[in-house]
Amino acid sequence: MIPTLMRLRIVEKSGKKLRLFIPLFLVWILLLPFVLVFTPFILIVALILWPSGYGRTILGVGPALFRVICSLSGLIVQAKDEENIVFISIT
Amino acid sequence: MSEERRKILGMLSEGKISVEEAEKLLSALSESAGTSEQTENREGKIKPKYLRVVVEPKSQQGKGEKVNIRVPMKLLRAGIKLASVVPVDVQGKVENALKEKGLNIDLSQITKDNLEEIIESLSDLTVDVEGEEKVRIYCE
Repeated sequence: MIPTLMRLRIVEKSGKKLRLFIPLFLVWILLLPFVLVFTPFILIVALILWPSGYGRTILGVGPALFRVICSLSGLIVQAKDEENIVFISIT
Repeated sequence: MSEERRKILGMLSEGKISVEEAEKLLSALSESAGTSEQTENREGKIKPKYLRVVVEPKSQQGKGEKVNIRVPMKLLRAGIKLASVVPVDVQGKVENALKEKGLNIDLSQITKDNLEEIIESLSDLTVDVEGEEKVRIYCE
């Protein structure tokens, strides 16, 4: 399932705190028109580059990237040193 | 004692079968029991969902770096699929870069079946390294 929310928390030694809840579902909605507009151009470029062998790559990268994005939900990265704390969670 | 075992021993005591025959039957019975047990274990094995990497400082005073990463297994699968669409000449460059880092991996050899095998083997994996920092890699 496509990730819908990203939580980002950065705490610096100076006391600065950054806490973000990024609604990824809105990002996907905003990106969708761009994808729809650019898809025909991508197909044309893939057809032109087909003899060189890169056409297959161009056509394959889109779905593969989409699969990677969909697999991101559940990812947690938490790093802490003496100065900073970084926490990223994608759900 | 199982019913089959009891029957074999009964037949032996009644003199219906010889000691050798009874031995053969009992060993065949234990082999088949072992096979079914293995199948059950393989089927009953829960596939891991996440790969965890935890780095903690050895001292408990809170000094040092702490890292806690949880990577979904499906992300590994998707990453391999993404690697499969990479052109062959680019794969060569990636492999060379990995070699420089000490990782001798042939990306073209990683197929879907291999990947499932790797992930299955990862479920039994636990790496504990203790130095200045404690590193733990495991699946859950």
